[in-house]
Amino acid sequence: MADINTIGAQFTEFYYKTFDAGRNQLGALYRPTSMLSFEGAQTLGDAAIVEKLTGLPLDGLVHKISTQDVQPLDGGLLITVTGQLLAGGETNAQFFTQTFHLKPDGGSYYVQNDIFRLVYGL
Amino acid sequence: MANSLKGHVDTSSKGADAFVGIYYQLFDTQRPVLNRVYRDTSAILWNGNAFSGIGPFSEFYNKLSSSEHTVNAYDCHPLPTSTAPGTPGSMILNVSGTVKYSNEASARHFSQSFILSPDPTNGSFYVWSDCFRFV
Repeated sequence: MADINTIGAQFTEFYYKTFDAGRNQLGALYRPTSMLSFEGAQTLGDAAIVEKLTGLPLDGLVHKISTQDVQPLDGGLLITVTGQLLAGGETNAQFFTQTFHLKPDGGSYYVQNDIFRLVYGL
Repeated sequence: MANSLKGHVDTSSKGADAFVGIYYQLFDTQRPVLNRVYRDTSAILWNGNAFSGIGPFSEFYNKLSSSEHTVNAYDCHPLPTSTAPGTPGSMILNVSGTVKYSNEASARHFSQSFILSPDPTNGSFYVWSDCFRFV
């Protein structure tokens, strides 16, 4: 079995690449039981989550990962990411933190929990 | 299903409020008793450093300068559970904010992800796993 750090790194690379290229592709990563908290707004289920994410008024996004920590959780993984987010046309990057809980499904994983927060300047 | 999930969300929210209210206060003003919210089985990552259980971790944090945490935001999700709604299950808690150490000139941003599990003896939550990072 691949070690959890490798699984985590593969997941986040895929996640942010897909998010930045076209958020509507993210649906397959979630399930009807999945929960998203995005800047405090809570959404349940893959359909609603994709609607929420594609509805965000953000274009030309680029996520840059600074750190990612992976810990085992109940047969799955907990990934804590910190990084920077640049929105198209903006010159100032914003810091963010995102926590994913991945659960195994067949040979791969889906996102059961997703918590995203911007981290504001001091 | 909807009602039971709502029950778990409510129970987790209350548990998260109570935990956040006490954790940083202990860290900042009563660090010697912070170990009460951890166990020997707690999995701890502190800015990339791994500690197996509260023993090694408390040795580490007792050496840190005194701290002042300011919590800006926190989110919690209940983890799927088969217990009755209103019975505490585990949860994910993510906290972000700033922390100022007395030996440093400026405060730093932090992000901290906890998995909290219920303590059946007293209804509170303890730290199953903890991941702290400066942002």
